[in-house]
Amino acid sequence: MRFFASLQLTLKHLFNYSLQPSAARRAGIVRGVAAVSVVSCLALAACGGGGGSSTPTTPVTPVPVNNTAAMTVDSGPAAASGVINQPYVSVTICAPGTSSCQTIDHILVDTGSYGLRIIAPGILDTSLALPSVQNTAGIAVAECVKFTSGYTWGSVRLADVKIAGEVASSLPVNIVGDASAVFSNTPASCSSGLSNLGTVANLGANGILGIGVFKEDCGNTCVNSAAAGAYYACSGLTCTGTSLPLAKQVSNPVASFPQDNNGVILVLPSVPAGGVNSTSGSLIFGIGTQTNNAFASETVYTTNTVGNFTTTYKGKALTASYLDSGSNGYYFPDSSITLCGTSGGFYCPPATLSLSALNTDSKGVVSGTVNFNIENVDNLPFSISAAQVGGSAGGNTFDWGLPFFFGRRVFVAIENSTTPKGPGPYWAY
Amino acid sequence: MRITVPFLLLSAYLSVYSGAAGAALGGAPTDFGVKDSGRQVRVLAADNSRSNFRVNESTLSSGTVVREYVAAASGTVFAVSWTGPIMPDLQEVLGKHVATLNAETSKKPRAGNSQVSINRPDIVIQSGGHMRAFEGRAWVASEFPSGFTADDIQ
Repeated sequence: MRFFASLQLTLKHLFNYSLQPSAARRAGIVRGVAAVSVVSCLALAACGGGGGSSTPTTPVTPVPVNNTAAMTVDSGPAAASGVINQPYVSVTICAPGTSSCQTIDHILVDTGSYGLRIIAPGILDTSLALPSVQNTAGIAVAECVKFTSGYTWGSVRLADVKIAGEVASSLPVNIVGDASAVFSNTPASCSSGLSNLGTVANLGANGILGIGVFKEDCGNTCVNSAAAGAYYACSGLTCTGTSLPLAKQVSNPVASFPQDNNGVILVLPSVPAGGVNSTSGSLIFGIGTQTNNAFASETVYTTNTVGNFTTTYKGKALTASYLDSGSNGYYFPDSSITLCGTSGGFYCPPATLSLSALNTDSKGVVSGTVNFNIENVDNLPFSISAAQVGGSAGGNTFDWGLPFFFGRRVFVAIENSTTPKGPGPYWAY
Repeated sequence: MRITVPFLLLSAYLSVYSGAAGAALGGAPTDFGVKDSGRQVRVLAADNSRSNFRVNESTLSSGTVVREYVAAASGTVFAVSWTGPIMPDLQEVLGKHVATLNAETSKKPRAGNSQVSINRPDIVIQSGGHMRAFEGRAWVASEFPSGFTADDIQ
């Protein structure tokens, strides 16, 4: 009953969206123009859809580009070990406007972050000489990213970012571990006594492709203040916190593509009990922009303003829950499940557990049950790189990591973008 | 996300807290002021039935909110929580227990940095979330005032 009542409300929402020349639509158009200075709005699809352009133009169908990148789940780059449930693509970065390029494999596909990060030591070809991004005072910018157990530190530089046939031109990217002298000292407010995660071994990847529901990695938080642990201005050998305009922040490349820029679809096959050594699927750019990225029977789950929805597990509503392809398991609180002796943080039930949880969108009107299994990680051979595993999380979070993506098409719609199912941010599956 | 603080008076009063610098969990409340000029602090007074602790709430310049649970008798922080767009300085917040965080997270034979969940008799540390939305809690159960449970940490 609740489901049907919810469905009605959802349809009403969708109907409303279709009637409104909303701020979101306008924002989508502005974003398209601002991000791609040379390419004009030739067609609705290229500009995020919708009407409202003040220039009368004849709609022209853009020449579709290859919007599909091969995505693999395997043992990761050579310098990594023990990798499980990490999806990778290859990304090409070029000095802006040149044919001086480098293709880097094993970049982690991460719906829990926003923007491209490349590990410099041993990976980046420094002869690309990517230009530095400067703050409004003209000082070179670096970025600290604080993760839950450690940090990364490195410069912010401009690159043309190419994936499949898509190009984000002159995009701010994060060069982690940049060896240039001016960025060589990590500020204490960034490291704060924690581990440096900015290595291939620690990340299990040569970089991170953040393609979640937002465009900029920090957003207005960093426009409004020099927040500790985010952007820094570096001169001499000293870096101090700085604010940074949105256009200079490290950003989700998809939002800057001239087309197919409203989101992505992750497609991965099912993984059988016991796991597999490797598997592969697709990272498809755009939602409803080409014949290969249309909706089928997927249900839309909107997220709140920080990219969360609610998962109800064993009667408890976990209000800071999310889908995260960059998490290598299902992470949720359940003190009744045995923790692993070897693999810290993972669950190791004596026999595979069959569990379920209920996801509810941020508006509280759409919900659906998800069934999932938890296998014992310590019992899997070390060669297994994809499996249904999970671990423990804090009290208010269900982190739907990569195992959730196996056997599904998962849509990720970017905030303020226009899609056939209304504006982002949302997930659909 | 709306955050509620049970057991505390709604009429919490604003005050500038002048605590000792750099102590955190296991010591006096943290003075974020030196490093973070944008912070705001208010002390949330416990209600009459829960007068054996108070909560120091600091809003950092990033917008991240840190709550420190302070035992009335000893003035010592026995629990801490954080929520917001950017992780707080965990060394400031966790104090000496940051060493436990580092030691435990370095043990993983499987790569994976998404969630921290450390559950030891002397310290519990939970740290999770994703870019733009982090949250976590840590506590020393042996230091809980009478009647306090981990579920009281919001």
